[in-house]
Amino acid sequence: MILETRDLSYHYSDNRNIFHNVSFGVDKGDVLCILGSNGAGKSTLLNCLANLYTPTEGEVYLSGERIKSMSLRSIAKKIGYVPQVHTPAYAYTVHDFAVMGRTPYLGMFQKPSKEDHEKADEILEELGIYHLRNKSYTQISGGERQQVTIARALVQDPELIMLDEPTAHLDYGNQLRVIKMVSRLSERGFAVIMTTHNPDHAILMGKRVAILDRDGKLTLGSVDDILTTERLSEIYQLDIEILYIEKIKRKACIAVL
Amino acid sequence: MQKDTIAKNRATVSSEDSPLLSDARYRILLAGMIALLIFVVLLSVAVGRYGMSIWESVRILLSSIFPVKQNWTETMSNVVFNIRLPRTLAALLIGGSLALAGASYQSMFKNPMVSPDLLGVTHGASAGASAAILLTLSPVMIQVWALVGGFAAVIIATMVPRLMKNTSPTMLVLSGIIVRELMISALGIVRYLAAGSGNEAIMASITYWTMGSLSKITMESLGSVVIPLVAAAAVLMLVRYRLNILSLGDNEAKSLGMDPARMQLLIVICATVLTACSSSIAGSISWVGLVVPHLGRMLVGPDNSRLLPISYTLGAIFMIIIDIIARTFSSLELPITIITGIIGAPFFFYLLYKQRMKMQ
Repeated sequence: MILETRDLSYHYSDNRNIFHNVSFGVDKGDVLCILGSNGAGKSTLLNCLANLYTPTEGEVYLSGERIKSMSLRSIAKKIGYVPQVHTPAYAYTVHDFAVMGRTPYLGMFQKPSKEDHEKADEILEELGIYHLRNKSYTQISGGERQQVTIARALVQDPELIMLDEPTAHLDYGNQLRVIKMVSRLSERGFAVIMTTHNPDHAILMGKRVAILDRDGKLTLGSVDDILTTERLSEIYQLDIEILYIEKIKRKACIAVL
Repeated sequence: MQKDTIAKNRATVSSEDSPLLSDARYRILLAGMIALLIFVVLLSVAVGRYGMSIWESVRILLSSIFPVKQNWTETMSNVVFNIRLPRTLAALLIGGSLALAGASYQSMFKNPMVSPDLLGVTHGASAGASAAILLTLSPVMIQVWALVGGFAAVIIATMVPRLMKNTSPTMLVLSGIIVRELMISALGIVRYLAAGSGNEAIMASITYWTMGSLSKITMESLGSVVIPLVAAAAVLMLVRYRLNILSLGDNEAKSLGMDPARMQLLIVICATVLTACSSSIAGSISWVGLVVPHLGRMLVGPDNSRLLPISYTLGAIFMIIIDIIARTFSSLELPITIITGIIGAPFFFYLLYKQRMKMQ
């Protein structure tokens, strides 16, 4: 297992449970999509897995090692974290931004080497965004920015990639472009954990899915088992249908309203 | 009208799409800046009431190392070694230090609108130094008090946003304004007390601290701050790539394997030492720490591995030129802050105007 959690819980000081007794494992090539309503705590859960927050109870293990006893540097060599798109204060070029993924491999006084720069360019090329190389990160579109942040995570050379709502604030086309990119990452052997608002994205990824409900319970399983008409209608408090569409040969999530 | 603006916007965007400076061109630019710095140093040594040519100033300077045939008067050599050289070196160190501190604060706080003076550090250090002068403490204690004032300012300025549980860039700027005004008032109280004491010398000395001046720099006062100024600058230069990572925010720095809190502490200490030690020998000097890093970013982009060296050199050049103006413009010495303001404010307006499309 690349990542394993045991009885993970998180609650605020007012005792409101965000999630409790979360236990699961993620292996090479696995994809886990975490769904949940607004404010359910998907991002909190993801941040606990990434060691950005400390869970109130329970443990996270990274390749069998307790994450709490690992250094930030060694964690960053295993987990590439893709935060939600935001605008940084300074207009770094896409290339400079991607190279920052080499940070866990650099000493305190070191700058990225020639190899580090080449590595960043290679990954930009692999992801098909090399043409953005010299543009400033603040000037490209939201969808491009998300892809560049994914590139930076890949430059970290991780085993596991975590994405916090990678499709938020993106138009329909860009959402699917990012989903396609993430799906290809799992084919290449990366383990992927992502939060999303769109059940369809989980269906498209076609692997494992987890739903975090308002009581802080995480229900986890295959797309077919978990994404049912009843459960989704319950979570989003709306009539939602999961239908098999013959023409595209897959299930789709459709709102009735 | 609207169409014009749109067309103009596009023009700005496309011109900024051009690739940034290549490594080779950056090195040429830095080398050019260093050459310019050497030139203004020599100019600064040559210019003044005892005028001499740059060539003469070079010969006098070299005479301390090599045997050079002396064809100048003792007075000239005195002026060069006891007055102009310490002053020029002080201008170089202070200008470089303030610009470096400004660039570091800006990256660390993820906020291009902060600087040593806008955070209140400059005035905090001056208030501390003035209080020490009022108490007729030794020069070493003046420096210690300057450091205390500077650190007090930076601690309050960063505490306010945390207390308000709002760490937005705007809150930090507002908090800096609070601290700055507080420190200016503290400086006012010290001046008021000094006026009450009736001691003309102390009064004059404190006024000097309020406005910023290099006229009282001696080799001794310079010697007392050289080590902290050079050491703090060296540390910042060594960790400068880390400033890029810090400027992305705490969580991103953490997910890239870096402990943001420890690095921030190190950087705040170094930048505050640079500001406080500069203020302890030259008083409050505004604008340099804000304007120079912006100019640097226009020349080499935001990457701190390039920005810090270029800012230091630019800051040093800027300060030496300001000091030349201060002591040659009229028979009476002009306070530094007046000139940095007159040059800095319109220049900053120009920078804002050029970057207006990029501002959020």
